[in-house]
Parts: sequence; structure tokens; C-alpha cells
Amino acid sequence: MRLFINDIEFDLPNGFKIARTKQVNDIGSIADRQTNYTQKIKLPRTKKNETNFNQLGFIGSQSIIPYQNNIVKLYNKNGEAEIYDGFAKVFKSFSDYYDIAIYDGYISFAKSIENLDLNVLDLEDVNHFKTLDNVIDSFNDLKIYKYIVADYNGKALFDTDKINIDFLVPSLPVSYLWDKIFQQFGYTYEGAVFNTFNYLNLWMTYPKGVSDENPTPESYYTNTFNNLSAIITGAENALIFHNNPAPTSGVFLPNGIGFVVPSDGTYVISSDLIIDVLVNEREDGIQSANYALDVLINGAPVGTLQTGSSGSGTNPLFLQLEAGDLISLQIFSNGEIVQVNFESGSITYGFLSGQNIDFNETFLNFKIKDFIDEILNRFSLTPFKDKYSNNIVFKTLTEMLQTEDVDDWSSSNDKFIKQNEESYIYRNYAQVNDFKYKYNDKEGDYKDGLIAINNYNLPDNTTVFSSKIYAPEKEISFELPKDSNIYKLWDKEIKDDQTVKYKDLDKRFYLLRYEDFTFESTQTIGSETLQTETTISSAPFESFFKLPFDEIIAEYYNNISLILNDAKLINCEIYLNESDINALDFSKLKYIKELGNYYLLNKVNNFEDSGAISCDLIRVKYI
Amino acid sequence: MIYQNRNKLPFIHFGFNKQSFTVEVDEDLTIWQDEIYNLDVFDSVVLVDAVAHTTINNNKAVISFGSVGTYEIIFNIQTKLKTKTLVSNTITLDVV
Repeated sequence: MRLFINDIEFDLPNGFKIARTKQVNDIGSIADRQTNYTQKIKLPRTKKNETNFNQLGFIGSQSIIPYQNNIVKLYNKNGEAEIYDGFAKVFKSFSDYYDIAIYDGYISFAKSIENLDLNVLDLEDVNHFKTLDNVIDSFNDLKIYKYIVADYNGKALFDTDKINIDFLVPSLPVSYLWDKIFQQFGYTYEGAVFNTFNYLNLWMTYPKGVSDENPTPESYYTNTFNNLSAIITGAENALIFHNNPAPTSGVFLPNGIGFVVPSDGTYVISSDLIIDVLVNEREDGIQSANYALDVLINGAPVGTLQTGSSGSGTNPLFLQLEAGDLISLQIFSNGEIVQVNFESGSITYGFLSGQNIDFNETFLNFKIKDFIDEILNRFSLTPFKDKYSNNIVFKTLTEMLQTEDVDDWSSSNDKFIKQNEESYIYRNYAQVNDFKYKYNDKEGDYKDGLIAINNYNLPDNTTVFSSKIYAPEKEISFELPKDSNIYKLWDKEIKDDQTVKYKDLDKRFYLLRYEDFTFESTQTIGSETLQTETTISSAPFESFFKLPFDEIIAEYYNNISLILNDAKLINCEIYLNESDINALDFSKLKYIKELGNYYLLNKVNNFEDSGAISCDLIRVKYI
Repeated sequence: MIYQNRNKLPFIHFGFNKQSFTVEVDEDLTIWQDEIYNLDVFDSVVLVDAVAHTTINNNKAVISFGSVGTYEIIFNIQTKLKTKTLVSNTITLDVV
């Protein structure tokens, strides 16, 4: 046997044996994903091993070996790699040996994501500003994220019946986050479940209410009347020149006319200027005249700030602009403009930046491991990591039971030796085994599910899976054009004057699906804050279809329920050699003729060398 | 258990378990099959009655029809050795 840690070979004593335990998923504990591991190894403190460990254990040693990820390869006496991409933990140094353990299998992946939150993922392609355009684009599958229409317990409608995007949040496909995790950590995956409707139409909400009922624009530029002048050309219009403009964001062109917008978003342009515009009326001579103060975007008029003869009728303009767009102002009058006098007031360009959707910021509070576990438990998946690559195959118990390629472990194949014991109770289970959501109401349990085991000798109740995902509220909302579950991301507070104050909540992660819904007649949707709106004929509405845990258990845990309700866990001695261990496949059923049954292999205990090895097997009925 | 899992019939729908649907001529439509089949054992998806279809995998197919009519759709899931065929429920599509 040869052991390499970080590609350096270590000394092993003559006749050295390592007790290896093999396991992929303990049916005795649904929520845990197991790994292959060895018992602790006493690695002799030879000169070579001490050097390899950078003098670990010596006074003054600077070795970081106990704290780092140590890659392990272990070759058996046939030269076969039994562990190819495992890792070693160094626990203690003694005077004559190092105390270490070696792990491999799925734990390599689990270690790589350990203690990391979802916010470490590169989510730049989904961070955005919440604008009406982006919301509508998401409805039309033009974005990765989707604003799934639902009651998030905010102000769902404004102006009586318009859908209010200010109180919608985007959701990300679970498949997108899953792919990101595997890409970013250098792994690949396979599994039939990843092609199903239940997986592909599963979305995770932005976990925080994001809105501001009365946002104050951030001022990018303001200038007073005495720094403004008009460029007179003898025409009916005159562009406005800004003298010494000093914007805090964005820039003016050298001509002092055009302001270059620095980023995408909603801009607010307002003015309270008093302007006297003189035009040549020819017959009547030069006189003050009515005028319009127009806003031009990239040279084209898009709106009027004020009209009249002395600045009356001022209106702020809300404009959806993109980075690089050019804002300029012009005076327009029905006559040849010969002079413009700016008499008082100022002009302001502001940016409405209140609704920045930053997934990296808000996903800080969700561990990647919890996200992976959420999917594994919802679909009842067992991971099988390839020994030589970073590919992980995820299988359901159904797939394992369908495999016709069965390992015959009968004595006629020199495998079965004897049965040691048969037990009828799985540890960690009770008569009622709960799968639980989180609830805004701490006493809630209405979306939970359970696996019932008819075994009087088990404890009453236990929780086998506690989800990090919140359940929607118990009540249904009828506020929107279609009934909706309530995914609470705002709290409503009714003030003394009976107005409602909406308070943002955060760290509320929800899973949901969407279903396209066609309205009976066109529906207005818009932003009350940004003062933009449009009409739509359909929209993606929320659905909690097949997401209550009782429905998940009915769909994905039927086989486990059958096994647990007719429990027979046997411990046998099976003859296994190095090659058997090397080629061991937990996803294949084992058949033992002497016992007349098929079995799932649960665990191989302490394999040291060829011979009778203790194995835990779970009976599976053929019919 | 083993026999049951090896003979589990496919279940198809148009999403959210819908058993009937209406589309326009040549419009792509996704059909979903919910049961999980071991890809080492089962590999064939056959769409019955489809004028035009694109089979993607055992759990999803995109279909379209070039002419108006009512179509009945069935999935057949076969073992790789073609020794067994599992026939799904029938769903109905109106093409208008």
C-alpha cells in the first residue's frame, strides 16, 4: 500500500493496514450524506514524514498542514487507486507518530463549499435595477431572473387595480444557482431528476423586501439661474448652456450643453426657473413670449419641464435612461428667439437609485451547504462522486431499485459467509418523522410533512429534516387578479391616520414555481414610485404546487417509507478483497441466495485486508 | 418494491399536471414526464401520434404540430434492450 499526501509519498510501516469504512448515504439518517473514511491512522514519525509535514510537532514549527486541505491518494497492493482525490485531517502529533484520518467521496465536494454563503457565487449577471423594463423582460424570458407575480405582503396594487412592481421581488431558478455552484467549485453533475418539471420550475426568491414609497432622488447635478444661458441662433429653439457645471456623478460634454448619464436607471429632472424669453414678432417688434422648456434625450424631445411666460406649470420628469444617454435642455417658442433671461430658480438632475437588486449582498445569509442539502432532501437524492474526477452522479432510491445489474453476493460466488444479526429498528427514527419548513408564525406547521412508521417500539416523534426555507402564509391573498399565496417580505403597519406603512423584512428565503396566467382583459402594471406603467395580457404568477412537504414525501419518499415500515437491517460477513473494495458500487443492489433476498448496501465496516468483512445491508422486497 | 419500481408507468402532463391544452399550429409546447427512470436501464422516449416532435430526454419533450386538429399524446418508455415498454397516460392537445 502506498500513501501520497499533497503528491508526496509518505513512509508506512511494513505490513501496514488501514481500516476503511465505506458508505455513501445512511438510510438510518436521511438528512446526512455520508462519505468514505478510514479509521485513524498512526503515521510513523520517520525523518521523511517529518520533513513532508514541514517538521510538524517540533517546537517552533511553522507547519500549516493541520489547517489546510491535504489531497490524498492511496494505492492498494495491486497498484489500484483506492482513494484518488481524498483529503487528510491531521489531528495530533505524538513522539513517535502522527494521528491522521483519510476521507474521500462526496465529502471532497462538501469540504470545498464548507462555511461559504451563496453570496460568494459570481451573480453579476443577475444583479440589476428594478425597472419596469427589466420586470417585463423577465416575464418574457429575456432575463435569468423572473419577477414572479405574487402577494409579498406589500402594496400589491396602486391606483386601485394596477399591479405594483415596487412590491414585487425577483426570483432565481434553483437550477441556475445549482449550476453556478458546480461551475465555480470545479465540479460537474448528472442525474435524471435535473430534467424534471419539479426541478426546472423551482425558483428561489430574493430574500428581502426592496422598496421605498417616496424615494428622494440622489442629486447628480444642480445649477442656479445665473450659471445658465441660452445659445441664440435666430431660430424658434435655443439650447441651454451650463456655465461651469460640476455634477457629482456623470459628466458634461465640453460644449456645456449635454450631460452624459453615468448608469442605467430612472432619472428625475426638475426645474423652478423663472425665464423671460424674448422673440422677434416682426410686426410687433421684440416681445416676451410663451415658451416651453423641453428635455432632449440624445437630441430628441421627450418631455416638457415647464411652459408659459414666466415659469408656471413646472413638472418633474421621470425618465428611464441607459448609461451614455445624453440629456440636454432647450427653450422652444413660436417665434424667432432673440434673447433669454434666466431670472431666478435652479435646475436639478437626480437619480432614483432606491431599488438596486444585489443578490450577492442578500445571499450572504444562506450557506451553500444548506442550499445543496435542501435540494438533496427535497428530491431524496444520494450523491455518488466519481473516484477519478470531480463528477457527481445524483440518484434517487427508485433508480437504484430499477437497476437490473445486480451484484450476486451469494456463497456460490464466494461472497456470503454468514449472517451475524438482524435488527428491526433504524436509529434516528421515530413513529412520526417530520420534514419542517420555517414559518413567520413560529407555531406554524401547515406546510410540513411526515413519514409515519408503524413501529410501536420507536419514540413518538422526531424531526428528520429542518428546512432553511420559509413556508408562505396560511392565508391566501385575493388582492391580485389571480389568487396568490403570501410570501411575506414586508410587514404592514397601520398608522393612526389609517395609512399603511410597509416595513421591509429580510433573510426570508422562499421556494416557489410560476405558471403563466392570461388576464381576461389587458392589465396595467407599473411602478408607483418611478411613475412608469404599461399594459400586459399575461404574467407569470406564483404557485406552491408540489412544494408542501407532505406532497414531496408522497412523490419522493415512498420507497424509503416502505423500507422503514418493514425494517430489516442485517449485518453479514462477506468475503471482500482489495479489488472488490476498489470496485464497490453502492448504487447496485446485492443479492444473497442463502437469505433469499435483495439488499441495499448501507455500509462496509473497517476493511483492512482480504477476508470476511462486516457489512450492513438493508432488505428490499422484490414485490 | 423492486418489481414496482421497474414497472412504474410514466406520467405525462403539460405542466402542473394539466391533461389537456390548446396551442396554435407550429407553436412549440413542452410535455413533462414526472417519473424518474434509471438512465442505465431506460433510454427510449417515443411520442405517439405526434406529427412533429423533438425528444429531449425521459422527462421532457418539446412538440409542435403543423396542422389543426385534436391529438392524443402518449409516452412510451422502453428498456434499452427493448424487452419492456411502459406506456403513459394519454393527454390531449387541441391545435387551432
